[in-house]
Amino acid sequence: MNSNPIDVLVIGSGPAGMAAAIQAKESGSKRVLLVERAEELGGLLSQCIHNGFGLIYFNEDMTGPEYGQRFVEKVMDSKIEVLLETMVLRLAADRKVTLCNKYGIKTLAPESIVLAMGCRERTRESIVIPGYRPAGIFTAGTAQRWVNIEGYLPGREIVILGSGDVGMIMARRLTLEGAEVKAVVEILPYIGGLIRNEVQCLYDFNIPVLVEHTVVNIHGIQRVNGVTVARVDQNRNPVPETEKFIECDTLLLSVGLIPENELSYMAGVILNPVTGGPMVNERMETNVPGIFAAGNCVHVNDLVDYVSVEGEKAGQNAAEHASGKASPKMGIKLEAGENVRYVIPQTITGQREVAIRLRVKEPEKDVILKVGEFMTKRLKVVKPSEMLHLVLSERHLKGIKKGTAQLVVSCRKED
Amino acid sequence: MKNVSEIICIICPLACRVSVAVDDEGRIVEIANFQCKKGKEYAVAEYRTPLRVLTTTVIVEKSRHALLPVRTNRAIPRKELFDCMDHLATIRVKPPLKVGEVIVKNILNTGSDIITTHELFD
Amino acid sequence: MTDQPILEAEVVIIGGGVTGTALARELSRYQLETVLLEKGGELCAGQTKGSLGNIYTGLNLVGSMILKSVLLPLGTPLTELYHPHTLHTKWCEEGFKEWESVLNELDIKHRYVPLTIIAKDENQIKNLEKIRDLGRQLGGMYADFEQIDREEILSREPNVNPEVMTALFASKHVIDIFPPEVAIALAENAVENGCKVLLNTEVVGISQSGPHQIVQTSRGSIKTNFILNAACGWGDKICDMAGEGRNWGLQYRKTVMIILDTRCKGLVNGMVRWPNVPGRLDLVQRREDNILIECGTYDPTDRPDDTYTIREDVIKSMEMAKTIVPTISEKDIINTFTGVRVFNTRDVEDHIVEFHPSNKKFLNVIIRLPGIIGALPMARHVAETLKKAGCRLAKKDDFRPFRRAIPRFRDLSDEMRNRMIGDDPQYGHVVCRCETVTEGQIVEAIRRGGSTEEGIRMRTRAGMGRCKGGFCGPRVVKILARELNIPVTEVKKRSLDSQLLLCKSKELLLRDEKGSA
Repeated sequence: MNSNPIDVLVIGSGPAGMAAAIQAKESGSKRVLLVERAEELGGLLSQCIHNGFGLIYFNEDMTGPEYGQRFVEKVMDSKIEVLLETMVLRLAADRKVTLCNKYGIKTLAPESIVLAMGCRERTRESIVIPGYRPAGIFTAGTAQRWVNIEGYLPGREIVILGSGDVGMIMARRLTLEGAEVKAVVEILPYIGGLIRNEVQCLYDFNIPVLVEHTVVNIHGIQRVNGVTVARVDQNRNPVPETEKFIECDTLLLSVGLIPENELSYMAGVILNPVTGGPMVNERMETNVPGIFAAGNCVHVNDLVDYVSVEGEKAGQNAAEHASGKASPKMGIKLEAGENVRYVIPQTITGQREVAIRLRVKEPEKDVILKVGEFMTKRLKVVKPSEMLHLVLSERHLKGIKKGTAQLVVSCRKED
Repeated sequence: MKNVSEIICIICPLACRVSVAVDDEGRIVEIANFQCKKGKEYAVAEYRTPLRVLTTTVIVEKSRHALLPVRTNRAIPRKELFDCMDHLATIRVKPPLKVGEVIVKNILNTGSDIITTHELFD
Repeated sequence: MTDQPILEAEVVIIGGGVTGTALARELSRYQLETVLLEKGGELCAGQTKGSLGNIYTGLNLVGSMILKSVLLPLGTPLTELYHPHTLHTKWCEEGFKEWESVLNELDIKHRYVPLTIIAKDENQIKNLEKIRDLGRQLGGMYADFEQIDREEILSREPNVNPEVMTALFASKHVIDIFPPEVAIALAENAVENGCKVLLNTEVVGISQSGPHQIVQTSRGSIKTNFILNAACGWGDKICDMAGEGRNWGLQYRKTVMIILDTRCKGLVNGMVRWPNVPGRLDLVQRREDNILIECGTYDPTDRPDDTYTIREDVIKSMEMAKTIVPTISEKDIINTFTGVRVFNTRDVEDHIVEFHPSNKKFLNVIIRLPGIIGALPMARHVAETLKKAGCRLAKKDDFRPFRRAIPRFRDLSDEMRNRMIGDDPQYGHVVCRCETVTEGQIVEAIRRGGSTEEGIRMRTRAGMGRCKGGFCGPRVVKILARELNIPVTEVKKRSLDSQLLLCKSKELLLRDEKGSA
């Protein structure tokens, strides 16, 4: 039994957590503990059996499990301690972590923590779709687990609400497994995910796509037997005259991901109301010293590759914190300006090169992305579903006026 | 007589809708509405023979796992996807298997193997 | 059907809600073969599941009495509104007092929560004063409250609408419970004491066979002496199966309820409501660690199972809730559900507990809301009634009144948890993250009779949290399949026709192959 203190404790072993643990080790931490509530490492990677992962991180087109395998191998090789089927029950502001598994309850006091809990899915109940509460309503991710890990199909005739990537991927998956996807219903006037998925998941299979529509009724008392869809107006309200019944036995919901932050909340970590995740600085550190965060629990990412990059950053800084290295002062706040929904990180030192990520509010063509007044980038098209990346190099940062406390990041249409 | 098909290019977020016009003999006579060379090449290839990577699962026996995820190791013609799914529905595998092991060689003569994407210890 | 009865009993209870289960427990004190039949896949399949379900006395009862004041001629003393002779009032008064000890006997989680009836405009203040005056005149528990001003209201309930002028405050009038837990606890104790509970057993007919009755069900027939009709919303249908002559009908009203995330639990400390107004209820209350909102009208419906949630009702309900607590927000909604309230048409104010006019061994036990408060005296009254009708009631020497709940891992200290895990490692495997429910609890719930997804949810809270089973769902289903030794595709959400997963992987592909071959 190792009685040395734990340098870095990582909560969650998905693409963010594994990258953080590996990097913490590489940055010199002696004891790194990776805690996972499921039965194996990898988080959701094991159930994301489709490809499109690793294009940036490994320069290869991999499936989720293959991408995960690379990290799992490194975790095993790096002598990172792993606890599976272990739930974190409590996280305190003084960084005490209470774990629970079949061996018992234990409270640990690591030097630093990386939060990498990922997201949960928005549910039917919270968006209040009228109807009874029949069996046959699943969120897309839970359906994905059933189909790809457990070996069961939720149903034979499916309607999917929400055209985000998870919804589209499941449309293809279920179709290939022999089910009939009767429609993908999207409330906005455009598809929510990547164009590649639009083509390869929906058009390839002639799956009917209903944009500017929503589900206004779920039929069936004990089991779904159909849904009613309707077109929506500019205020996203259903137009009753356009109601149409679609017979089906299953409704899949892909209506939003919510960063999972119950532990963060317990520890007094300040959350950003726009992202639902912790406010972080350029070191991926939260307002609680020694508690870092990365991946989908900070903000919903579009590519897993960036989740791992963030994880690395958090892991490295967590290791530095554990070794006693002092935190640099964050001098500048980054504010979300015109057509920008949020910016990560929210505070930067202003002295060192930093990568910024952001999402726009509305799709737009021919835009100028600006940071303050000193950095601009022209883009042909921007969409809320695709994260944008900027690097503020030291050269850029030298151009900031002394004493600047805040920089606005905006995305305006070029006139 | 020209037949015009619209191919949505997936290479960059612009998602150009490239139009590909062919004559009665199936020869491409015009390609329009693209913004770059990559897009033009993609549209032609996609029009002629759309290729896709198939990712799916196979049933596992003698294991505590129910399924093993697999993939084609190269893209195969889109029209073969369902036949491949039907064929793979009959395959059974058992542990131990490493990532990348071939479980079906040259599936349905597509030139692609079916390889594992996840380890299967037990 | 002339097949052999699958069971023989002295008393059959039809209906597994709080009424039926309270009757079952009471009768299990006696040496009587008792069988309870429930048509759903789990207990509380009907009205009990959708009930507001507090155990209350005092001000809330006075509030309902005041509603009838609109029918009284001017000048009539308020005390005319108090009808102590009704079964409803008698049993509520008697019942409330004994619940504290029975809740402890049955190890049901409960907590007194303060009740604050607020008023901000002239009309509300007038109504409030009527409640206050009648309460004081009635005395006893009805008078055990104080009137407080705005400053005091906001110090006790800081998030309440700051425009409130005055309120009535009672600290001991409401016991917060989870209604399915009450019914299930009563049933478990009844079973412990020899009662049989049959789920998925729908009564389809009643006939006579000599001195006995035959209850025909979807799973076979049961020979019995007496029948208790505790089928609530379906009480009229069941009554008619026993013969003609029913002189009452049932009316149903539906209402929507909303649950907010546990993050909102600090919004109120207890129940906060506007004074009673005919046809509606407006309250926001702390329900264990969540917030429960019932703000709406009791809309007539023609079916007892009309639990269809109407979106506009939820929107209106939220708007009304914000008049009580302005910081309430839609983004915190984690659940909405609709409950049906049942009243009889002959005497809307009261229960009907009478023998069938053409069947002297068939007792209608048609209980109106609130059904939980008076359930214990109701059950005793029914036992007495049976005795007078010739049913032999001999007390058991070995009746065991105590029931131990499934351990609530979430509420235990780390030390207790460690001990449990030491005895059974399944208690260390947390399956439901949102409510901290372990595999050990789920397995125990199955052992005690839970066999459906909803049953596990009601018995352990797994799946009741904000992710609504997103993480724990597949794990709970697999544990059910394993423990019940059934295929995953046979696991149900609640009733027999609520299959969760329709087919196995590859089944559709292989079937197509065979089909086209």
